[in-house]
Amino acid sequence: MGTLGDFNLNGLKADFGLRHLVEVGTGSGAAVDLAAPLGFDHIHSIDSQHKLALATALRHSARQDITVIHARSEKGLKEALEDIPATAPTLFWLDIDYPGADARLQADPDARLERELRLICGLRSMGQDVLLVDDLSLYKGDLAFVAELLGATHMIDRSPQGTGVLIAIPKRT
Amino acid sequence: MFCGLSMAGGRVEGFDFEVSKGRLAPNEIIDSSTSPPGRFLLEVGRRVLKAKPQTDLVAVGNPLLPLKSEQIAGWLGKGHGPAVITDEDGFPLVYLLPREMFEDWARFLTVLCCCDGKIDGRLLAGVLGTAVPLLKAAVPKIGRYPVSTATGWFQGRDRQNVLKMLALNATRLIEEPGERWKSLPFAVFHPYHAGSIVFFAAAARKVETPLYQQHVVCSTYRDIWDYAGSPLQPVWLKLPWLPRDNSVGEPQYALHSFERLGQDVMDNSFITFNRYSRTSGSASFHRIDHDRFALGDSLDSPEVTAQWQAPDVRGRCVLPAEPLKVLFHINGGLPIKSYPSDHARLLFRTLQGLGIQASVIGHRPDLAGFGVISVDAEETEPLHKAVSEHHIFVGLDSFPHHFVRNVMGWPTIGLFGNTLAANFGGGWNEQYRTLDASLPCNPCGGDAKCPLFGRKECANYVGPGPLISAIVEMGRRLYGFHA
Repeated sequence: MGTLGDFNLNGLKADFGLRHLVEVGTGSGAAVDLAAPLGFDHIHSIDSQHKLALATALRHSARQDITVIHARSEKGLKEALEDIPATAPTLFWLDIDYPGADARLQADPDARLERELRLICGLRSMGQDVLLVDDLSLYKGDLAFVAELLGATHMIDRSPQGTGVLIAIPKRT
Repeated sequence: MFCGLSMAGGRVEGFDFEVSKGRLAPNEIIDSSTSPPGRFLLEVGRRVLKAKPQTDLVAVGNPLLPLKSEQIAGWLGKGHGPAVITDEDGFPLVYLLPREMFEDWARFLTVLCCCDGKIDGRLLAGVLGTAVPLLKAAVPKIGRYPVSTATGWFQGRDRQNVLKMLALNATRLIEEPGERWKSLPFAVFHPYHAGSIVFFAAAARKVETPLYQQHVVCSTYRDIWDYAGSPLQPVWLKLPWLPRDNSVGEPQYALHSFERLGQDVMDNSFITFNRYSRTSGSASFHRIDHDRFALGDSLDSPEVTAQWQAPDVRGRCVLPAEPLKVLFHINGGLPIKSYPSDHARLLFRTLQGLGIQASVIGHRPDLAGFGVISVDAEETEPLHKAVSEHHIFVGLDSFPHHFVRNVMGWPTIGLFGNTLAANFGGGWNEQYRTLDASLPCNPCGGDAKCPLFGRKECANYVGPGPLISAIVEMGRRLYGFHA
């Protein structure tokens, strides 16, 4: 299992002009804590485990620019993306196997990732966004949908660090 | 107990009221778990003015104290204008208020903290535009409140601090230069759980002129809000809901919430803490009526309560009567809140034998052998769709039940275990009935296990027999089903 700390977050932010962070899988809140001082316009973090979401939410309750959403990932993504302009450069930190993933969906994490990605692409003009998907080695299915959804706008790579990360960054024009 | 005095032309007359246990006699005030103390103060004033319309000044005993009218009459001294009478530490004992406070400025009474005379005196002075002095009565200092009592009251210092904080915020707004405060909205702070949203919305639909215009609600309940049809404006609180296991106290959660709502909300609305002092399961009334009272209805006779009145929405399945389709919500998260497993197996085996098609919300492969279909209906939209495809809904004392009953008005059988049907069910008719085993331990309030035997499951759920009878009977009456 990787962490957002494995990446040079400041560097990514500067290189791609990222203004928002959307995380699926709040967990202990480490990614939110890491990103909190970096000056994102807004950080959204989503977890379907109530205790995990609440703990991080209360820790940052005074920060109007941090929202922790307790919901299944798709419902949470819809709520988060309502707040973010469709063209504002956004970093998505998704996770194949986060602890709060719904138990029923755990049996089929592949389907969840595809649904999340289709939802994100359906609600945004994706050309400016960066996507990182953790725990790629746990993914058993066919990733063809990633190329289908992002191939035209993004360079897609796989990093072996940790349990593997799928990296999608905007193609430079 | 509550009390007030009518003061008119030198005459003083006392009125005493009791917390109603269900009768709602003329001297009883409804037991509302979602009303701030100032709402009871307002009600006493209204009752006094109704009984004595010529009243100039109303004295109301602090609703948080066990007072009698005879007692507070002895503390009035020579006060002839607005004042707050306090103990030696400034804890308010009696509020002396002109009738205009109850008629023209009633909603401002709901933001009184009722635990700090200085704060409340300032607030009242700002509203009335006149001095409201603090008068000290010769009474011993009021002691510290118990954090909770066996009869379901909880009113420790932290809760009082929330009331003080909100009263201070209201005072700040009223004391701003100009008259902006007169047009600011009032907001109910009651954001917590999905069922609460349904009940408050149902209550707000029934109140002609609510004291409030806004309702602070957790933003993850947007979908429920959209269906529930509340006439209030939502103020979205972007925090996960309050945990039910008391790992975070309501006062602490409230303070985090006010931080999260931000200065803009605090600067532009009067917020009241609507879960101050009572466990909702202790009172004899339906939660919708708790909320109606909070919103301003006096509810002064039993005929107007939710237990007597038919629901204002009613729906019914349009599918053919056979096969009869029944949707169940039987998993409450914990065994104590769920329909017992042994009962469930026997229930579904029998229903299968009767040709009744059963579906269950949630993933229940263990019941597939009885022909039970698992349905993913944990979000509001799929729940609405799933219910529409079944003739009858059978549910625990939980959100799906309250949504189906109060928003969709669908034929429903409510299953009650460790909670009271009177609090969360009620309004019985041919489309709605509730079942429980009527054990003397109900309601126990047990969260994790049976407090008597330590068992994980609740014995107060009815067995399969009465439930199957209820399903067949409802199917026959409403749809012409024959088993």
